[in-house]
Amino acid sequence: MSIIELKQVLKKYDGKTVVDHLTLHIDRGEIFGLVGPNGAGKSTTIKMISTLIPQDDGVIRVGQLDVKKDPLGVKKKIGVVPQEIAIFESLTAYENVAFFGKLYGLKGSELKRRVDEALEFAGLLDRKHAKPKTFSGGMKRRLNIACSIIHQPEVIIMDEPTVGIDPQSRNHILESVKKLNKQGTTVIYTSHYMEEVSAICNRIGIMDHGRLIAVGTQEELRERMVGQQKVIIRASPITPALIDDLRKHPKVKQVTTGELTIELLISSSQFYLQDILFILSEHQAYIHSMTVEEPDLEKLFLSLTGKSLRD
Amino acid sequence: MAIMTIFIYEMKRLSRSWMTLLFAIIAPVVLIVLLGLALKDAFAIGDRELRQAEVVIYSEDDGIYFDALRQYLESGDVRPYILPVYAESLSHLEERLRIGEAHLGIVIPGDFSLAVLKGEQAEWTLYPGTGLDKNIIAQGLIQVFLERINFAEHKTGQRPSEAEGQLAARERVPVSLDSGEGQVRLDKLETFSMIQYFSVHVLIMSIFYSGLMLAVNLLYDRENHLLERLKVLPVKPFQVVLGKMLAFLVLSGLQSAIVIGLSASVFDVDWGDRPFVLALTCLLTMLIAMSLAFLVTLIVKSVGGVAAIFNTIVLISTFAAGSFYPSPGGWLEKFAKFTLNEWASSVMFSLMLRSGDAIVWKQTGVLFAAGALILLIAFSRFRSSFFRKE
Repeated sequence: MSIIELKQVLKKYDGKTVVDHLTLHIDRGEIFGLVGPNGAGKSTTIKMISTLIPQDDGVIRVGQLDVKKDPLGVKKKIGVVPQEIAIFESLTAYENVAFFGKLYGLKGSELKRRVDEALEFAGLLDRKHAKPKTFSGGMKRRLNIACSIIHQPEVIIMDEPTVGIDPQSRNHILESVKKLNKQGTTVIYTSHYMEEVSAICNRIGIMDHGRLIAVGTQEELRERMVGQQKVIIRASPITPALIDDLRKHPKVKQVTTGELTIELLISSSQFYLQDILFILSEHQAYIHSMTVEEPDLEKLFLSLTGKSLRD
Repeated sequence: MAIMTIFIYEMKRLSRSWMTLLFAIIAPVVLIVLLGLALKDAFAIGDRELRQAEVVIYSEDDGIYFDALRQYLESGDVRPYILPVYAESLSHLEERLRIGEAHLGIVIPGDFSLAVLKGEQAEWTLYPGTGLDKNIIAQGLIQVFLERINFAEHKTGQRPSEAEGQLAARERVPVSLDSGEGQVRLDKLETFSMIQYFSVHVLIMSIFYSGLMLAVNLLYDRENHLLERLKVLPVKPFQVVLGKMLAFLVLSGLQSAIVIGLSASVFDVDWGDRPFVLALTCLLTMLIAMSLAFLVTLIVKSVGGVAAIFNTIVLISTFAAGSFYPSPGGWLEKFAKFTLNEWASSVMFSLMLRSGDAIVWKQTGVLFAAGALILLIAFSRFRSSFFRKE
């Protein structure tokens, strides 16, 4: 059942289309990863879902509520972790989280309990009376998250929450996302790190030029990696006849040779390695090593957008 | 509820900022103490007897208000402070000023009385002469006279035609300045000292700088994405702005109380006998400063830019209103009429001089109208994009 729905959403800035008739649904309980190169339109999409900016056309619904008609209702259902660390440096960690909690309408003992829970979740309970200026970058990022989950939202939107932090804090955040999801929270996660998205997301959407160019589970996306499986063989002797026979195989798209290596680009995942071994054996080639490069999302991204994710 | 939450946390932030302490509390205190110590011996009333200021008057008008001026200047309350000299010509007046004998020159145009009676705009030209303190005192006393004839005209509420002219006017306009219903009544005359004068301007300048602090706070929060973060919460944008404004109003109120309290208790500055009106004047000035701050942040996008623009506005209007040195008159004085410092200080001086309620409320009304106008402009220009760093 969809908790977030975008139908034919259009957004333009100064006449330039930034989000181009985007249609997308995110199911309740999912961790949905949204990736794309800079300028792909993912931040604009996130901002429109968060009610920060209005769409020019189309419909966005969060938990059945239209973001244009009932923005306050939508705001109560969502928690947004901004890309930037947006916390008050002169307030303590506790005061920061409590401030946001109060603005969500929490008070009294419930507020105190929720603040402690949020800080514990972020691993900052023992530093609750310290001010963020004494925190490391990773701790500030965690406090940034704690401020967004105080009201236990149905949907958490995380816009690159691990930018510029140490691996330990990154792991903590990724584990936190999984934990939140296990508690029933739907998560939308954007990142420049495909390994992060691969590690935590159930489904992934790839955006480019304001459009969703691919969406699906990791397995579904890998299925789309046509012509991207690579086999690298170190063998000798490498004869013209051997190369010819390899080229004749219907599943081999491309053959590249070096002094001692042959690189094969395979056009199907339904490929049997025995065929290659048989051809090599027929030509009495001695195999020193053989490597099969499995398709990954980074390569899929590159093949779909023509750019690396971190470009 | 949201406004109060934002207000309370903003107060926490302010109370922990050394910049706030420095600019909002320490700076005005230091300024008042320095001015007080510097001016106390030289200018304070009571410490030293004030000598008469020579006011040279050249009038082309022989109407009723010239007569009224003569009576006013000869009255027992004014005479100890002003020695009137009636010039035969404009060049005679200029000569007295040039050689430094006169402390203030007044030129009254021929149609002044008639214009006032007809309810038209009528102006005197003032020429400041030598002697800062005497010049201020003379200007203050002349201002009192002008305010009172304005008040008398306002109260009679009749606008005779030109044909009715002087005759009708002579029958109804006060010949005496101290009697009669609907006529000008001159209360016990008081004037203000230099320390009073500068205390008023330090107070107004401090209030305006509180506005600057609000502007810097808003831009800091925008640059650090805090405003954008608040916008995704179930809070309306105006609640965020009002919560913040309220915190700076409280800060500015505290600042004003310190300036008024310190100047009154340590340097015997008399702020008049209407504390409620004084508080209201401070509040209106604060609202104007906050609204102006908000308006500037809608136009200027950087902390440096807003500080530069706000400083320029405050310095120019403070200078034009004669806060550093009494206005030399001319176009600068006309310009000063459009500054909020001028109107705020006018109310405070009127309170110090114990002017009538009608005069004070009229000036307060102008202040209120100006504040409402700026606030209206600020909120009409308000867009939700204000919350985002561009």
